[in-house]
Amino acid sequence: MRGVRVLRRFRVFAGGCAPMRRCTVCRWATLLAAVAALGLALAAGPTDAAAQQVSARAYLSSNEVGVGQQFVLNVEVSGAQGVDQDPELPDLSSFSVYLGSGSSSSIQMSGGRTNITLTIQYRFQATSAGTFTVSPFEVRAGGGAFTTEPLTLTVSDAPVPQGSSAAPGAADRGIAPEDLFVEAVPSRRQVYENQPVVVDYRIFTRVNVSSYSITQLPPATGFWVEEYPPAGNPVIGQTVRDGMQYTTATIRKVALFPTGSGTRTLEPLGIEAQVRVRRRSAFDPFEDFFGRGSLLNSSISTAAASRPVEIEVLPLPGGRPENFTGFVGDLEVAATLDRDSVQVSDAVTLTVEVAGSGNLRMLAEPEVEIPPGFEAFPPEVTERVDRTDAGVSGTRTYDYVLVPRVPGVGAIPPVELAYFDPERETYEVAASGALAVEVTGVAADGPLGTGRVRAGVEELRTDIRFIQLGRPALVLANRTLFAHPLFWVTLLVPLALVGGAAGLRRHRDRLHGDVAYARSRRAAKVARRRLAEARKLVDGEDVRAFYAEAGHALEGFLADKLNIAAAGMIRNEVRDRLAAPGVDTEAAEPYMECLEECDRQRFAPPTASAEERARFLGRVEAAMAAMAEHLAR
Amino acid sequence: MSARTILTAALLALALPPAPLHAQDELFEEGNRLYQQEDYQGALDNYLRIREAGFESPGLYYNIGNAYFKANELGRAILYYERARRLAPSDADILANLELARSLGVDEIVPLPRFWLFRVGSWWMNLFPRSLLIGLTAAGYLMAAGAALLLVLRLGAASWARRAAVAGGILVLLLGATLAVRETGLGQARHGVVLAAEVGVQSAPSDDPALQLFVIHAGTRVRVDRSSEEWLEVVLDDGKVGWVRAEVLEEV
Repeated sequence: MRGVRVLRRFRVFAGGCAPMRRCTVCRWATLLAAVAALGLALAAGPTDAAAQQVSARAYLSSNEVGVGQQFVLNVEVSGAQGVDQDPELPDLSSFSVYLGSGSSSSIQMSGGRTNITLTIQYRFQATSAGTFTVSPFEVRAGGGAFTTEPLTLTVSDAPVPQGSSAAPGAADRGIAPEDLFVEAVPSRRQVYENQPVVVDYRIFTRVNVSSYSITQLPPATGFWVEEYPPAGNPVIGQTVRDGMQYTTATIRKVALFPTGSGTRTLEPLGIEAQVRVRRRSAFDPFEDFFGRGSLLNSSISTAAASRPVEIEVLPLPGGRPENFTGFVGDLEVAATLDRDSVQVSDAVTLTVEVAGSGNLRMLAEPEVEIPPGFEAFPPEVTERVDRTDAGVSGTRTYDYVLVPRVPGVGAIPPVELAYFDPERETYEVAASGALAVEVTGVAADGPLGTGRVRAGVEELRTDIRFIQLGRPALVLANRTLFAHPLFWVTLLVPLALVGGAAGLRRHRDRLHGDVAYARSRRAAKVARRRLAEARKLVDGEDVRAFYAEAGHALEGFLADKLNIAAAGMIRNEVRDRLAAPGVDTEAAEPYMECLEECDRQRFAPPTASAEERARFLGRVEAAMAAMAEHLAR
Repeated sequence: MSARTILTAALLALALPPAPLHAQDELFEEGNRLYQQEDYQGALDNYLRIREAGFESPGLYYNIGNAYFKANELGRAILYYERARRLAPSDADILANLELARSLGVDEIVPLPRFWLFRVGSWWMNLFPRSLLIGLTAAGYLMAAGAALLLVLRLGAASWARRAAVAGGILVLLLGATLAVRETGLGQARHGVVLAAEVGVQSAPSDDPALQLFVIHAGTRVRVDRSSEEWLEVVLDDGKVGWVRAEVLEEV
């Protein structure tokens, strides 16, 4: 009996299928392996599987690889059928790209002992040269935790021939890197900003690839990506490279528009391929048994990734036109109107078609100058993009609906778009022809009836308002209103007027209602009139008449003042009144004397001369004045 | 000289502007001419001579403010705009320029909100320009007096005269009280405008740098609450209080 029997089945899954989360295929494979192991174990006799010790270790497929080549980090757990938890790998992204993982389990029976070994394989591609350390990490399996040893990996610039002995996994696969690789082929290595680079990711193979899947899409940092639609069946070509015949196929094609200048790197694209191989092992019993179509050995999986490619992006040269918006490529602009003449308020469609190659999706809307008197609506944009080997081209159509509001001729100036032509390395301006549309009819009412478009007043700069011109209306500083004479005049004059008016009113009222007051107020006037009559008689012949008039004046004055009837006035009564207590003799005496003089002269011979009469008149006036003053007291 | 001749002479003297005013008007016009020729310093000289002669008007202060603004003296510009505003509180030009000048100042002071009654009172007090207020009050007074005269003398329709008297009386009471408060400056705080470029405000009337509370800059308006010899206690619009030397600011 042979000391060692090996039963091995590879379980392969791309990236996401970890040992713990087993997919149907994995479960089926494990079951198959277990059944096979059980059969073999029974055939071999009694076993001691329970006593098996659990252990874990990590090792690299090879300790030295070249940049762009693959290496495998193996985690081997013996004595357990699975891990309790997916191991957390250290971060290897500084020098490598993770491609995918797989696992295999094997059952060995040796000397009556059964060894179950699980190997998880993590495939990486080295991206930069140097010596790196894979730091220790923890593997949990069979109820215990195991820490791996630190591993050292040397990545050299030159490709290292990978001997089959260095990598147990690769040895079984029998796929050398030169048998299957991926290459990123850019259309140009040096472009301007926004000038497209068409990148062709091609698979080169000398083995029989039954299928592949992309496991890692490169990040498109710094690029605007225009993906070419994948062909249904890849076009297979034949290429001779380094004296060897390869079958090639494009697996991905993109147009990349660099968004800024500088050196950009096309990150690797990773694939996982299923390769049909023939086992060459002489000891495989299944091959002997099943022949070429062996169920277990017909197809194996392998991973590959493209090497990073650097693209140099040049900044756009100076001297940009004013209306340049960043488009690089080639442009043509055409503008058309759907009719030449239109009625007021009827719509006319202006179509601006921009055709060319370049990043049309990022093309800024052309500035169309809408003629005054037209109402314009936001354009409807349609786009058609063709992806060719040379790059991306297409057309972008803007449909503007214009509604005229006033009759006349609406002129649309040429629509201009500036762009940079990378072939000629100059800025160009594409322009359409000028258009005109005749508008007939009557101006429509509405906000646009005047043909002007309303807009807010734009403030160009701020400044203080202008000074006051004209007369400054100066007043004395720090003088309040109360210091101004006009204030007091305005305040007091109306007051005085109202006061005077009130006095006047009171006077009139008494004149009307108070006879005594009225007579008294009239007395002086009447007396004066009589005395004036008397004065006329001073020089006259009739002496008696003079004295009679003067007497009337004296009597009437006193009667008015005292409010008694003048006609029936008895001299004694007057005398009594004047002699009554309280009447000042100083006033009464001269008055009485005058009265008596009048009486005497009226009846005595008329001897009094003109001078005498005049003197007497003076005495009468004085007596009256004294009496008026006395009575007013 | 009889009373009538004195009165006539007084009325004539009031009706005709005093002779020096013509000279001031000429100075004003000369200032305006220089301002339009962008000789702001020359314009200022003319304007300030009017001020030195003891005259003032909102327009004069406004023009002085403008000339200072153009001469890049922000503090003085704001001072004179404030003076113009004191005379004509609701003049749109003055307010616009004052706001623009303030916005160029260094200090951005958010005023404390005021009790709404004070806001209404202040709005009412500043509603009319002085001349309009005086004119309206005088018109109301004369109307009331005239109506009273008619009533007393029993001339015309008594009902209309009575209404006119009542209306005039209300007008006089309302506007007269406002005018009196404004003329006497009753309850009005003293304000000052900082003219020095940068002023440290002290917590006490002392130059001790340890007592410095904060720094204000030219053009900031402050309320003057107390004064002691060379020091003023000022209150900012946001309520900050401190002392500054009297010479760093000028009262409005």
